Amino acid sequence: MGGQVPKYTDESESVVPTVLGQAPYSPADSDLGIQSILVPPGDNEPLIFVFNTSVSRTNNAPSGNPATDTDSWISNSSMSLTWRPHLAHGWFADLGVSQDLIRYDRANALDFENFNLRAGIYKSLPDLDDAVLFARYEYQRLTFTSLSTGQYNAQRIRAGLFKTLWEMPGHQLTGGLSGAYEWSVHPSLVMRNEYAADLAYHYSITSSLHAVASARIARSDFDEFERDDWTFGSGVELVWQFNPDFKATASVHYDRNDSDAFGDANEYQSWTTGVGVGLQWSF
Amino acid sequence: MVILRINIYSKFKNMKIIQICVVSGLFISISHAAPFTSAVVTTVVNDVKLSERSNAAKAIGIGQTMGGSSTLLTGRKSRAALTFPDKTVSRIGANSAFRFRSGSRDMEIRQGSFLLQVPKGAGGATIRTSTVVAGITGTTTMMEFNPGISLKFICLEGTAKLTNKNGDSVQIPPGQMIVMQPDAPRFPRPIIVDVKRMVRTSALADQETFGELEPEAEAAIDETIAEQMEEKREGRLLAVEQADGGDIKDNGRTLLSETYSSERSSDFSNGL
Repeated sequence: MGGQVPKYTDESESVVPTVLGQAPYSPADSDLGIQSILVPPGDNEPLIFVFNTSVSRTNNAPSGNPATDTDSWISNSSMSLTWRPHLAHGWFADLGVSQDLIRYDRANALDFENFNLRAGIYKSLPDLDDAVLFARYEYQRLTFTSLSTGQYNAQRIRAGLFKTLWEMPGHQLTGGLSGAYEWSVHPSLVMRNEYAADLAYHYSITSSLHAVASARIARSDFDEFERDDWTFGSGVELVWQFNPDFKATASVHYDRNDSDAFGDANEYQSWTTGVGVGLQWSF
Repeated sequence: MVILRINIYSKFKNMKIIQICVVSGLFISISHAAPFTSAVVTTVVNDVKLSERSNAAKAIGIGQTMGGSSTLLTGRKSRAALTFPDKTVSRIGANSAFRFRSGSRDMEIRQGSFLLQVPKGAGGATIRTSTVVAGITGTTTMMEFNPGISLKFICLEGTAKLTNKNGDSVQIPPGQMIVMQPDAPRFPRPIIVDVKRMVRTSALADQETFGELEPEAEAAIDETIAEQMEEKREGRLLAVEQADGGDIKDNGRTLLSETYSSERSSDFSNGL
């Protein structure tokens, strides 16, 4: 969020934290230090609804023929609902459901829908510089233009840790490690375990303009054919928080997948650039 | 009866002694609250000047004395520290204008930031801006004042009381902070800030530049930090970005994670 200093003429006004969860920026922040806001869990609304929609252009849309790179426009709309109640002794539940709808303008590209459900726990560890430990069950289901006919579904357990590696007022570098173990996948051909490392750098350009540069590298260890894939994703995103509930984004991403499977059917790389808007409501 | 009278007299006498002690203690306390008359410059980083009324500002060095008629000015990326005879310490941040009123315990920040540490029992101090007055006793505080734009006030240890022109006032406990527009008619409710992260990243709390604060103040700040750590361990306090639904699955990314998720799914369809 942008970070706003209220006038306090109305009792309902309150400090709006920045997207990094800090007090609104001011010229002497380097003298004062990072002002990370802490809240009792009960002070915030427990349910979080997020809606995002974006339009992007890619140079490699997924299609029936993986050997062909197809330029295409993508429209991506997603909704999610999250609930994170406090359980006990600093452990929180993380329950959520989300649905994405992805549509391409090229007839031979594969439109699809992505449904995710998760249930897990997490804990912030103050003695490890506020590293966050998490573990959760995930269910994912992909459909291709028919929500009722599932073409892919997977159940997995994902666990990991992420923490702030470096920070100063307006800047933050975070890193994370995670692993996912799948035990039930249809079709079983693509059942895999994944080990990933994430890195993200956040920079608050102004109190309402925020940039994120991120990178992710993951190794997927497939059950079938002793196949190993390496996936690399990186991107830069500009976020304009023009209202405490609404934001606009512009982004560029590069994704690449290298596979040791026979042939190059599983290898691809793509550039995607686009703009989007999003809203978040807590209630 | 005689014994009773003696007892009553004795009780009366004891009360007198207590009264004398209280009055003497008060007197000692008042006499201990010596007004500020001068301060010694103990740290100078980059561009630090002293302005004497109508005279042009002159560069100042370590060991020089600042009087009550002067204003200390710091430039960009510049900082200074002053120590008063009662061991009150004032560390002034960049782009600041700071002075104290000789013969009182009043300090004034016209703009900029500073850290103020007043030893317990030293008689406190009053920090004045054009719109808000802060009264502190044995306390370590930080403050930033940008006229017409914003005011921040943080208590690292101890308690402070802010009062505005309308007579509205607010108490700020240790580990809490006020963020507001300086001319706001009312004070907001203080917010809790992570003192450990703040002190670790604050230039005004930097030990390499300024050295350590008084051991008593350091211990009190450590106590504030320890209390917050315990609250965080137990989940009674958490970072606001977590409470507000910050993404715990994709390293804090926002729309990127959604797009990435879609692309990952397209990877699946590529490989199908």
